[in-house]
Amino acid sequence: MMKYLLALTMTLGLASTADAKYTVTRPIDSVLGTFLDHSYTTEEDWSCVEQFGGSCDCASAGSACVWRQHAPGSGSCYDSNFFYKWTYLSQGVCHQATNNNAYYMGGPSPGYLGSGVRGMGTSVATFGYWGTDGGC
Amino acid sequence: MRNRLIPIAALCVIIAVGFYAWRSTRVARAVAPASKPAAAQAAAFVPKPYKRTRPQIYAGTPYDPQKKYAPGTYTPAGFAVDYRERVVHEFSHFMSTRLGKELDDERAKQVEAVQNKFWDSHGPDVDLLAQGKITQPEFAERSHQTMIAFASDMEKIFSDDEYQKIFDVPKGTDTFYVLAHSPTEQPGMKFQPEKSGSGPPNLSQIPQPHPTEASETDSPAPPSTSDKWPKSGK
Repeated sequence: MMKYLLALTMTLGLASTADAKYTVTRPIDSVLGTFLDHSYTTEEDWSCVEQFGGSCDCASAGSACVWRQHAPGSGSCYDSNFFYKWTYLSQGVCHQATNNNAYYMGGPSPGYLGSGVRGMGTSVATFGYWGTDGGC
Repeated sequence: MRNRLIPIAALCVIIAVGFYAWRSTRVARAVAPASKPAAAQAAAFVPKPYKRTRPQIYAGTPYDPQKKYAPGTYTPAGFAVDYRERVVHEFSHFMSTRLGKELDDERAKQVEAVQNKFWDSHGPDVDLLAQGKITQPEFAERSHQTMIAFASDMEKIFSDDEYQKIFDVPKGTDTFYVLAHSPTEQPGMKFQPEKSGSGPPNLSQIPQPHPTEASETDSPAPPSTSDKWPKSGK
């Protein structure tokens, strides 16, 4: 019985990572410095799911560009289709868009990127973790 | 005889000093546990993960952005009926994570007032933009001014250290141009869905695995003083 359970757990584990998506944060490289973080969501091959402005890559970010793994999600709530009605600084900014992805994809994250993402203080203070609309 | 007494006296002094040091350490150890757990408890404060609940879209009489409404009430079209409460609660959770403690009630009310003031000003602008009554650049400029006022109000509530911990920048910093950091990420611009097959990803650098949330929370804040920060209100 234990062998079957172990095999099942391993199979599910492998299956869940096979279609994993990632939320990524990296420093915003502006002329003023790199003191706030941009966020976006990628497929397993690092191609963009959503970015809500900014670029969807780690160019020049070095080791400060970090990913968090999520489950593949279900339905259409986790992808860019959800955000087509969003306007930047009305419903939120990139942090809220990526938090929505983290929430709807599921996985180890509690549904948001975590408190360490720089600049999230201002964006959460004004738009909350997931933006101001009704969600998906 | 005298020559023999000196080493004996010296030995006695050494033994006395040693005994005194040993006693002092024991006393210190006996006292220490009373203060250590309190400090450890404060450092170990971690709020529970925030649980999201499903919001409802406001379906009442649409607010007119040209009219004046009571503070804390304006709700832009398409927003959750309780979006203000959500923003307040979610930021409260965020703050406690960053500060390592819950904010006291008095200051929590002040923070809530600043957040409501922001939306009293920004909410009508959101609708004006959506209705095409102001342009995207106008919306961006209005948002900039509202954010400056927001930051200025927040600065009055927190100490320098607290402000840095929560907002990642020193007081007086205008982060607007960093948040609006790309040509496609300007206030008032629509979200641009990625087109499938829109080109291969830039893999010149691959992201690193994220460290644990605990280490992320403990990551050092940016330097608190520097001439490079842009100043708000200019």
